Amino acid sequence: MQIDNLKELWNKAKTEVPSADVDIPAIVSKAKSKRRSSIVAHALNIAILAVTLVVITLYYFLVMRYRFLLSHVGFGIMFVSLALRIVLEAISMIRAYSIDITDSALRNTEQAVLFFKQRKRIHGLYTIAIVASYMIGFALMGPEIYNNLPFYLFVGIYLFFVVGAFILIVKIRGGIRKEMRDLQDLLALRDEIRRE
Amino acid sequence: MSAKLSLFNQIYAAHNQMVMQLCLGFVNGDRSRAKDISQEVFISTWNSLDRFKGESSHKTWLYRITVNTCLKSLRDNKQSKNVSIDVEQRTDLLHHDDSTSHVQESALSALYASIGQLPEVDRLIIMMVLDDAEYSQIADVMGISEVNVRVKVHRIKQTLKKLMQNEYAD
Repeated sequence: MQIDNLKELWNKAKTEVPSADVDIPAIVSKAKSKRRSSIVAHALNIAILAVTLVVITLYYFLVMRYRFLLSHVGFGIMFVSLALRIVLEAISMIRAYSIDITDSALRNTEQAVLFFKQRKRIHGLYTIAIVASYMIGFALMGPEIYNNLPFYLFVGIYLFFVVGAFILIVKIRGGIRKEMRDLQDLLALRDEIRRE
Repeated sequence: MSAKLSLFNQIYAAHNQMVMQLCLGFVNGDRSRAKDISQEVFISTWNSLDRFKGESSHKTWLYRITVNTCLKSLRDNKQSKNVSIDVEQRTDLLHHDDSTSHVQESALSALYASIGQLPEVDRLIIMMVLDDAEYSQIADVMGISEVNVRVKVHRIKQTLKKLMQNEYAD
C-alpha cells in the first residue's frame, strides 16, 4: 500500500474519529484551576520554608536569648542551610516553569532533561549537605538547649528531630529514584528525536 | 465572549479531530487514554494561548502541544508502551456509517495497528505525514532539520509498509 493511499485512509478516518467530547467551559475552568494549583503548590513549599526560617529566627533571638557561642554558630549553620534550601527551591521552580509545552519536541525534552539534572543535583549532594549541616547546627545548640529545658523535653525534641530527618531522607530517596527513571527516559527520548 | 475564549473556540473547532486522531494513533487506539491526552492538550492550549506569538500557524503550534503532551504522557503512564488492543476493538474506534466499507474498516484497523507498533517518536512523525503536514512543519514541531525529517520519514515508511503487510497477512 502506497503512502498516498494511507493518507486517503487517514483523512477518511479523521471524519469518523470520535470527538474528544471536550466541554469547553469545563476545560477553561480546569485549565485555570490547574495553573493556580501548580503555582500554589510551588509557592506553598517555599512559603513553608520561609515561615520556618522566620519563626526559628524570631524564637532564637526573642524567646530563647541564648548566649553560648556554640549556640550562635549552630543557629547560624541552621539559618544558612534553610536559606540555601529556599534558594534551591526557587531555582527549581523557575526551571520547572521554563519547560514550555509549546516549544519543539527536542527543545521541550532538553529543558526537561536540564530540570531533572538539576533536581538530581538538588536532591543528591546539595540536600545531603543541607540536611547534614542542619543537623550539625542543631546538635551544636544542644548544650544550651539542655541547660534551658527539662530533660524529657530535651530528649523528646532531639528524638523528634532524628526521626524527622530519617523520614525526610527516606522520602527524598524515593523521589530521587522516580526522577532518575524519568531522566533516563528523557535522555533516551532526546537521543531518539535526534537520531537519523 | 472574550477574545481569548473566541480564539480558543476557533482553534478547538478547527483542530479537535486532528488532535484526537493523533492521540488515538499514539496510544494504539486506547480511546479512553486518547480522550485524557486530548483534554490535557486543550488545557495546555488554553494556558499557553497568551504566549502565542503568531510565528507559526495555529495548526503547527497545536501539533507541538499535542506531540509534547503525548510524549509526556509516556512518563506519566509507563504502561502505554505495552498497550495493545485487538482488531475488534480497533475497528470500534470509528463511528460507523453506511459508507464505511468493510474493506476500509480493516485497512484502517491495520493502519492503526501498524502505527502502534512503531517507536513513539516515529509514530508521531508518520501521523503528521499522513495528516499532510509539510516536512518543514514537522521539522519545526520536532526541533530537528528538514533533512533529518526526510531521512526519518523514508525509514518509517519502509517499516510501516512491512508492518502493514504483516497485519494483512495476519
